[in-house]
Amino acid sequence: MMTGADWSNSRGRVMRWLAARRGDLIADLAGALDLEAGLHDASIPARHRAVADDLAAVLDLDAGLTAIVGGSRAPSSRPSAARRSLVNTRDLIDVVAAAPPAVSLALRQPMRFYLRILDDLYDMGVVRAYTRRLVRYLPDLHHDGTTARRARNTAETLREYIKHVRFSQFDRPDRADLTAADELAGVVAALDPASGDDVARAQQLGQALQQSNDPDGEVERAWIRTVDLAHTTSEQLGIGAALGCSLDISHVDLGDPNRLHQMVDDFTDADLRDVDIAGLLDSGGNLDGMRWSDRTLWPDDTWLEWALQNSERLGPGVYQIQPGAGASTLLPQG
Amino acid sequence: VGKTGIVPAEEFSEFYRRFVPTLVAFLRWQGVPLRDAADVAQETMIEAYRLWSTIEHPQAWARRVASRMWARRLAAAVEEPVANPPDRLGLLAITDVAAWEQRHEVLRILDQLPARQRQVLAWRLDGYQPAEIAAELRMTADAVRSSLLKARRAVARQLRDGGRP
Repeated sequence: MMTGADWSNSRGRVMRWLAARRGDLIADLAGALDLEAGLHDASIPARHRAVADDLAAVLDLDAGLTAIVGGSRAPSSRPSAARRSLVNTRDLIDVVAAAPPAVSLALRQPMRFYLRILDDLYDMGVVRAYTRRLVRYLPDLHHDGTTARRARNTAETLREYIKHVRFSQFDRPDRADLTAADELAGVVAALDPASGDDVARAQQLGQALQQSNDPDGEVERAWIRTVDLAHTTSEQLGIGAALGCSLDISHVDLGDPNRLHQMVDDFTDADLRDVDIAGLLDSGGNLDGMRWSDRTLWPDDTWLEWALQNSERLGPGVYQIQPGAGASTLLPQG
Repeated sequence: VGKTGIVPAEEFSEFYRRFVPTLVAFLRWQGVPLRDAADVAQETMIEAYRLWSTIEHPQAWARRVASRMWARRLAAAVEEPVANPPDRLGLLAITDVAAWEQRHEVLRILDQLPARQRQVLAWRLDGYQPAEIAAELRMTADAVRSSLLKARRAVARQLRDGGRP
């Protein structure tokens, strides 16, 4: 039997105890979940879409619609190309997957910039959503203890979230909103519901934060800057034609940016033997965050050594280049 | 035909049966109520089935998507969860959640920890290294290690004070 002191001095045992309890929990959950029903349920939407797609292919929907509404062929319900302002992430995934290593490396930095903007927007969206929720509680704080408790819990959660928001752009206009949201959360967390002044201050902050920004417009502007940055980089590297062709994409949706996040940094199977890495770094690029592995082929052993010196090991045979590794003083000689 | 030579539906089914309990445990470990954890896991699997051919690392993908889905759901909720769960086919096959949870003392201990420490602990026990957790949760690796240390100490304290063997 372990004593209190044993637990205090045994971090390994604590982790082993937790790992064992986690195993118990998973095993018990397997019995508490109706996996077969869930599995059937999970595949229904995709099967439904597959059937709908098949039907759409064999039916003349426009003719049917015309027969109902009359007149000439009914207008298509699909948005025009001009109205679809965002680039299709799946197209981008295809581009990144098919690009030769030199183009992948050149695309990496612009794409990381773009994805960071998406992350910023996601973070700010979460902060705004929490804030809206908090503001909804404010009118009832005086006379409802449950609402006051929920408001304080939400405020604590919001403050915790804000602590970990790391905007990629120092000059983001949202930064002021983030500060105001933090202040609002702070006021609510410490709020005395009996004090009219505190509640009025919280409401004032909350109303100021309800002004929404223009996330779609920001994504579009970010994409334009991404393309500009990609073209500048490619011209410096003399691969403009290849990159120009790759970026001939006009529409985006934000379906699965996580997948793109993964791919942009993934060079674990890349053949970089013919890539001008020094040229990329000289032109202001960097390899920060790039994942590589024992299978990655470098231009020569000097670059492999450089990569090893500037990487953190993520797992067996997998590494990640650390920030700042592109500094010229660290470049391999020759 | 999928990467392993079997049809994707079979590949997905195998993944679903094997991984869903782990995913629900991963969410519950972080403090997501059990019913919500089951719902979020199921929604994640619906999305996984739709995107199956494009997902390279399904477990990592599912953990990330489920975590974000829960954050969005939490942030967007207009009301607190209703007292009576909606009457529909759910993944959860039990009705008395409280009685089921009482069987797992670890949940009571975890409930005493701050959300961030629970989150980091859940990723660590699922086999992720601090650098990987840092990337997933957008923290620094040092902050992850610090949270882990605090979590371990807090659990040790709970076990000591609770007189656990």
